[in-house]
Amino acid sequence: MIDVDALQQAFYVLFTDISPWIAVPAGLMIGLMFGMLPGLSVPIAMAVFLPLTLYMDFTTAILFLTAIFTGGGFGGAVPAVLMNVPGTSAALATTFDGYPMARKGRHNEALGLALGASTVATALGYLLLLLLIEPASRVVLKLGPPELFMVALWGLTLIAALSEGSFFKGLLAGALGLLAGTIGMSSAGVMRGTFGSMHMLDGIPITAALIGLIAASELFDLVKSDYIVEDERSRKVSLREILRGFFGALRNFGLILRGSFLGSVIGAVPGIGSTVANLVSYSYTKNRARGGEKDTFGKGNPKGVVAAESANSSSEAGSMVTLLALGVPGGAGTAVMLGAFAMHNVTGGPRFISDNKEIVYTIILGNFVQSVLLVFIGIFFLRISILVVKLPLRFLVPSIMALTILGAYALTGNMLGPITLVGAAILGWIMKLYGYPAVAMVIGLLLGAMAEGELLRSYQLGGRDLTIFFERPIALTLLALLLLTLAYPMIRRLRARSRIDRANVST
Amino acid sequence: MIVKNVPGRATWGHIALLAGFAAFIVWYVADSFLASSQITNLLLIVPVGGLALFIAAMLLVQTGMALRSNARGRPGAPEAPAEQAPWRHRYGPMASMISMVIYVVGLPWAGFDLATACFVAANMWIYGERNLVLIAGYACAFGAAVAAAMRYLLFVPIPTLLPL
Repeated sequence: MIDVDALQQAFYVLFTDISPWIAVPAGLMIGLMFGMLPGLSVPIAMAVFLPLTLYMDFTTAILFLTAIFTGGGFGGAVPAVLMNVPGTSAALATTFDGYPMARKGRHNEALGLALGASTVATALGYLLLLLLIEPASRVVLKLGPPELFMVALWGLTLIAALSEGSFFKGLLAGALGLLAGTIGMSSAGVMRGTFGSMHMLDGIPITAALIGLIAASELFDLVKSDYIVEDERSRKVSLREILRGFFGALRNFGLILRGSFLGSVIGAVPGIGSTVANLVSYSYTKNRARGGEKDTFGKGNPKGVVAAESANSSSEAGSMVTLLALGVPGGAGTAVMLGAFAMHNVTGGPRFISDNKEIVYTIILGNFVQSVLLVFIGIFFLRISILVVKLPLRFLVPSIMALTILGAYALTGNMLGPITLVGAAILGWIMKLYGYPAVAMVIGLLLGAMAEGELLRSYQLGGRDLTIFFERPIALTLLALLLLTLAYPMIRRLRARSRIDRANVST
Repeated sequence: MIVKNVPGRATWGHIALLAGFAAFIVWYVADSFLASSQITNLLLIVPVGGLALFIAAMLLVQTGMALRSNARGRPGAPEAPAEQAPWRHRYGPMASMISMVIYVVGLPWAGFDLATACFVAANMWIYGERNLVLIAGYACAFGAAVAAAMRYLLFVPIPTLLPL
């Protein structure tokens, strides 16, 4: 499973050259900064600094870019906890419990939890990558359009899990998101819902819509508060509390392990990645909670932060599987990395692993060290970023609003980004007012184009017949898992009811 | 993520929202159909659109019935006393949304620096700051700084009022 000679060579390469260790801390800081600023994403950071990698050797360049990836993965948690604005789409589920913790004055602990979960999960993800890169590359090759469509559908079943209390409102929001996600040029080459505008060919700018839908309702409602943390005594920056959160995350090692596994596996599926991984891990943890604990999710349960952060951080390792093993970028970040491959005349794919095992192992080992470095750099960074709770909201909110709108412009390079963000912001606020979960719409938006493309390819692959889904074992297994996921809350409710009935009978 | 019950007095707004959702679904499915009526184009859109329209109609009926029963159940009910909440609590979110729309419309015309400064200043006032010197100073510095950062750090070409 592991080539020991190549591993030894990787150690030699990594620890006899100083250049990676100059590039990696810089990459982590850049990633943290870009991840923290809503609207600016990790792929933007990687794209901005991509030309710089021309002056580095290939290994240093990839380690520099993965450092930005790792730093950004955690950086997105900072605004998610402090402002309910996911710095990246992968930090969406972090807002669910991180922000309520911050509102209760537990921001230091929440960020410590996020840091602990992120660093350990990054290391675990790369450990899995080290052990499984060869078998994983074979499995990923077996996933065809029907399987990928089923994975997308599985992501959509989260709607039911997340919109507890109003299944139909969740379903409607998800279906609307799915429809909006297909706006633009379809896989069949047809333009829909674009009003004839060329800017809309790629559809709705999803990051802008996501920030608008999720963050805006809170930002608008913050007009009623003076500070993020209302209680002045709780408005403190405490290294002890950060460390308490950090070690609190380590005490939930089982949760981190599960999140890391889910993140690595889902992260390896092209087009799905960390965005869905954090939601799956969060809902799974929430659904597994027993008794009254389930009700504490969404209200500041530390386990919610750990589950979300462990999955989104480890998904980086998963996405590296598809990049290294298949030469297929799983998302925008790995697409930029593929650009770095091309700049250094390196071609990813199954042959890359067999021909360059020492480079693959160097990248994996380098990322282990990165996760240790992230602990120290992250704690230093958090002490500065937490000062945000001391800022009056009358300065903070207008600045954040302007930054998100300008970030949306930077993302799209035209006015479509800001217009989408404002439209989504207002819609998100209204949806919240009437009890529609905006997150369901976001999931639909994220998966819409991918789901349609894979469904179309399945249809064509099956000779214009959709029974192909019942002919492939992996697709059928995924379908069974999906139905079980949908039925599980109902089964649990029935079991709980029968337990109560039995208790009543016995008394 | 627990969905709250819709307050009875707000159901007209809810009906308007559902009508908006339904209008979007109908328009989008029709637009897709007009673009191409081939099954490859409508494979996902028609079933999802049909499902969404069905749920929207169901919720519309449910909300309409709730509205009717509210009206029947409280004949001649006394008007709720006017809320005593401060101005920014009652109208702040709405004012902030309007300022955001004006900001986005004004960005290409006024320049990113001036529009950002005006937007930040307006929202500082909406969010409760009353020191005009502080508002002007902070908003101008912020507007100039972010416009310069976009142009020189992110290399995004943007129109500005100042020759940055």
